[in-house]
Order: sequence, then C-alpha cells, then structure tokens
Amino acid sequence: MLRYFLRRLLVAIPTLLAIITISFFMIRIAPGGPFDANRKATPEVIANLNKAYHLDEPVIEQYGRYLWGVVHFDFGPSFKYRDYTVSELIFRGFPISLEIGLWAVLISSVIGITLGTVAALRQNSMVDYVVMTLGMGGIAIPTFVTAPLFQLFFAVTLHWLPVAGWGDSWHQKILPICALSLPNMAGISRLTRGSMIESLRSNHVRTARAKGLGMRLTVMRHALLGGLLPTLAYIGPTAAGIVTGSVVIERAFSIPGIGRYFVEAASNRDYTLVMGTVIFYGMLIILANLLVDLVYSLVDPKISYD
Amino acid sequence: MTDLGAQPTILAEFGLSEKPRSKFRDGFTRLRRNRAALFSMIVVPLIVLACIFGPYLVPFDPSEADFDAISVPPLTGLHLFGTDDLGRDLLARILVAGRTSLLIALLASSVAIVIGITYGSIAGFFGGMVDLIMMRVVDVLYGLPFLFFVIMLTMVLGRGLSAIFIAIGAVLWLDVGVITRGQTLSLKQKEFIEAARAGGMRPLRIVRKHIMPNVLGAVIVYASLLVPVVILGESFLSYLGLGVQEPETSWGVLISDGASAMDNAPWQLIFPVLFLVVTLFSMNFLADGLRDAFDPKDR
Repeated sequence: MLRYFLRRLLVAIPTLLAIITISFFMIRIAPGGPFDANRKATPEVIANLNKAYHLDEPVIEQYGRYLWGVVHFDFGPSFKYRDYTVSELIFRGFPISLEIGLWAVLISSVIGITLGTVAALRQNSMVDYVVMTLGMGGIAIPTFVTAPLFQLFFAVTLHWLPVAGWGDSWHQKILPICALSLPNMAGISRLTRGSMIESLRSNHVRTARAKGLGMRLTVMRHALLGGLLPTLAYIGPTAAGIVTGSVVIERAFSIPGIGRYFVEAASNRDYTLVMGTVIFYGMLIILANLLVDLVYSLVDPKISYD
Repeated sequence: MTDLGAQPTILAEFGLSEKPRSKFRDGFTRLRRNRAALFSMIVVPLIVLACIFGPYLVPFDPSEADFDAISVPPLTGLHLFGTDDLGRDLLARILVAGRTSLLIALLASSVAIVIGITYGSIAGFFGGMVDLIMMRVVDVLYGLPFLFFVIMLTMVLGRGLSAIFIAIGAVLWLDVGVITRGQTLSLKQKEFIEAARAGGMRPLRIVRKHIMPNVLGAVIVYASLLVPVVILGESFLSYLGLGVQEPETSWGVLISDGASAMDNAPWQLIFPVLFLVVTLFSMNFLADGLRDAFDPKDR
C-alpha cells in the first residue's frame, strides 16, 4: 500500500515537470512582457526591472532558476501585485476557493447519489426523468449561464439573497455554492443511476433478495457498495471540473479566490502568477486523483495495487 | 423472402427487415427511434441555417448603434428581442454571434480530429516503443488542467478567431487520439493491411492511405460530441474576456454583456442564454444518439 502510494507520487513528478516546462516556455513565447503597460518607464528603468526579475538572463538559466524555486515552494514575486509573492497571493485566495469547492463537492455528492439511486430503483418514474434531464442539463448548461441566471432570479428579482460579494455574511455563499454544485450533481446522479441499475441486476443482490432480505437493507448493504464505485472514480476528475468551474463562479460573484487571480493574471501578463496558479491547480488535481485511488482500494477489495 | 402476409416477424419487431441491410441503414433505423436525437436533427440545422441566413433577414445591422432605441424591451417595433445598451438589435447580434460560435466549433473540432487521427494512428500502427512513449505523453497531458492551457495558448496566439480555435483544438484532440489508436490496433490485423505491407508499401503511406480513411467513420461519430464542447469552451473564454473581441462577437460575449445588464434589461441575458442552451442541448442529444446508433462497441 505504502509502496503504491510512493510510486504514484514518483509518477506525478514527470507530470508536474511537464506542466511547469510547458507553461514556462509557452509564456516566454507569448508576445509582450509584464512591464509593457508601463509607458512612462524609461528604457533604463525597464532594463533595471528586467534585471531585478532576472528577465535579462538566457531563457534556459531563467528556467533553471524557476525550477529550483518551485522545488522550494518559491513561485517568485508577482509582476503585477507589487510587494506580494505568488505564494502569498495563492495562499490568500486558496482558503476561499477551497471552502466553496468542498461545499460544492459535498452537496453535489450527497444529492447526486441520492437522486441517482432513487432513479435506478424506480426506472421510468418521475424521479427518473428528472434525473435524466438534469444529467443532460449539467452537460449542456455551463456555470457561466447558471450563475447569472441565479443572480437574476434569486437576487435581482426575488431579493432573497445578495447578488455578489464575499465575507460579509453566509448568505453570500449560497448562490455560488449552488451554481458550482449543479453541473457536478448532474454528472454524479447520471453516473450513479447507470451503475446502480447494473448493480441491482447483479447476482449478489439477487441472492440477498432471494434469502428474504428487505429491499431497503439490500440496497443499503449490498447494492450501494458495488454501485458507488464508478461514482467514486468520477469524483476525482470532478475536482478538476470544480476547479475550472470556480474560475467562472469567482468572477461572476466577485469572490477573491485563486480562480479570479488566474484570469486577471492571464490578461495582465503576470507571468509568475499565471504559472504559480497553473502549477498549484495541477498539484491539486494530481492529489485529488491519488486520494480517490486510495479510497477506491479501501472500498473495493478486488483492487490491490501491489 | 417468404410471404407471411400481414403477420409481423420477430425481426420486424426489432425494427429490422429480413432484407440484408448495410451497417449504415441499421444505425439510421436506431437513430430514428431515438426521439430526442430525431428532434435535435431538426433543431440543429434550423439553428445553423438561422445563423447563416438570419442576419440578412433581420432589418437591422448587428453593429449599428441606434441612440434613440437604447435597451428597449422585446417586441418594441421591429426589435423582436429588444436592443442592447447601445441600441443594437439583439436578434441580429445573437445570429451574428452564432456564426462565430459555430464557425469556431467546426474549425476547432477539425483541428482536434486532424491531430487526434494522425497521432493515434501512428501510435497504434507502429506499436512497441513508439506507442509506449506516445501514450505516456497523452497520459501526462490528460493530467493537465486543460482549460488553463487553452487560456495560456490564447495568451501566446493572441485573441483572434483563429487563435481561439487552434487553442481549443490543440487541447481537445486527446480523446480522438485514444479512440483512433484503439481502432488502429484492431485494424492493423486485417488482411488488406498485411497485403499492403507484403506489396512493399511504406509504413507511413499505409497509415495515410489505409488506416486513416478507415478509422475516420468511427472517429467522426465520437467527434460530434466535441462540437458542443468547443462551443462551451469558446463561450467560456469569451465570458472571461479572453475570447473574441469587439467588433467580433460570440454567444459567450453576449452572455457576459447581458449578465452585467441584467438589473434593468434581463432580456439581454435571457435570449443569448436561450440560444446557447438550446444549441448545446440538441447537439449533445444528437451526438449521444449518433454514438448509440453507430458505435459498434455498445452492442
């Protein structure tokens, strides 16, 4: 088990290295530099700035310096937010993004699994149609549509909740979390329905029913265990979906998380901040996948990683 | 064929006639029984036609401001969907924006298909070490947060229309590559490939002349799922202000503009959203239906 874990961590290193390398060189190719917008600066000042940020060195040297920094969790200074390092910015925004993300994962898993299970138990019923429609909607209706629609309906028209903002009251958290949960809820319920239908038809479930176990207990003790495995595997990649979703959500609701930093940095050509967020997100996704695999091996005795 | 009168045979019950049928006809029969897909087969062409020809029929120029009709609600005069903050007709803008969105979708899917088929068929055909390394690369790429790379690519390529479709296409080819590789693996066992080899055909030429054309059919069915994904990706970028820019417009731009005007002019948000969602819904239904009907793996 431990060996598997360590091996997976080792395999993650080339992936991370690829992320760092691709993003580093991609950004160097990008036209324009971080100090272009500052027109007042004389050439000498620009030269000094470039020197201070080591932008005058050969690219390969810069790359080496950057890699060395990343190994020490030093992502360099932000070019745009002077006086802040990228790490500081990330760790200021991350707790907020994490809070929304965790709630969204929790809510979408609980409701999604419940809906999917009920739909599987009552195929072609009302619940089933709702789940199937919701499932398609989750794919077809993006968060940048649901977020403004939620704002329009619940905030502007009904005045139930605040339109946007963060940190003043818990009311502000409801709409963003709901908007972020919805697409994942759709995916999870659709998947759970499919795998539960299969699980309900399997031999061990039939045996449980045949020996006289009630439907409720059969589902709780036997069908769910097998039926939830694919769902569990889905939640890992969902972390990635929640990441990209949060970029939109944080913009739509003006929430100061990392997603918003990323978009701003991309428009501002704040090289170090863009790379810092990409690497950070990359690590998060790798970690989430690893975590899911570990849970998977605990739940499913058929899987052994040795 | 034996004459059984009006009595339906078992075959007919499953929607199959006794006459031998091509794979295509079979698939088409299945597709026709999928009501959602059938409905989408009407809706998708309608939207496409509306976007292509609609702007000529609407009596307003999509980019012409009319300061006497700023933010008028729907059904005011000839403004069927109302106007935006500059008095531009919303219907005309939505249709013109649709052109951009659909064009990018078409081009980006093509880019993804070209890269994916080339990559996948080479990996599958040569096998061995080549395959191992090429698939390792795909694994690594799968681990990347792809939308972030689209955003970074648009930083490199600029913000023109071509930059966006290349950026999206360059990131979305992974699935196509993996599917192509799988198809190639089974295809290269076939006799006609062996014959080509025996005839002394160069490996790369075999890939180009025999593998690629034969894989294309299966891959295009899958790639139809890419089209809505691209529309989504493009709107996502435009919504974030990283996509197409004025005077060009797309559904994502309109939704973003509409979202900021929703306090006093909700129609500016609702109509573009409606178009985007209906398009995405029907394209997904259609792609799902196509895959169910034509994918040999599902049966």
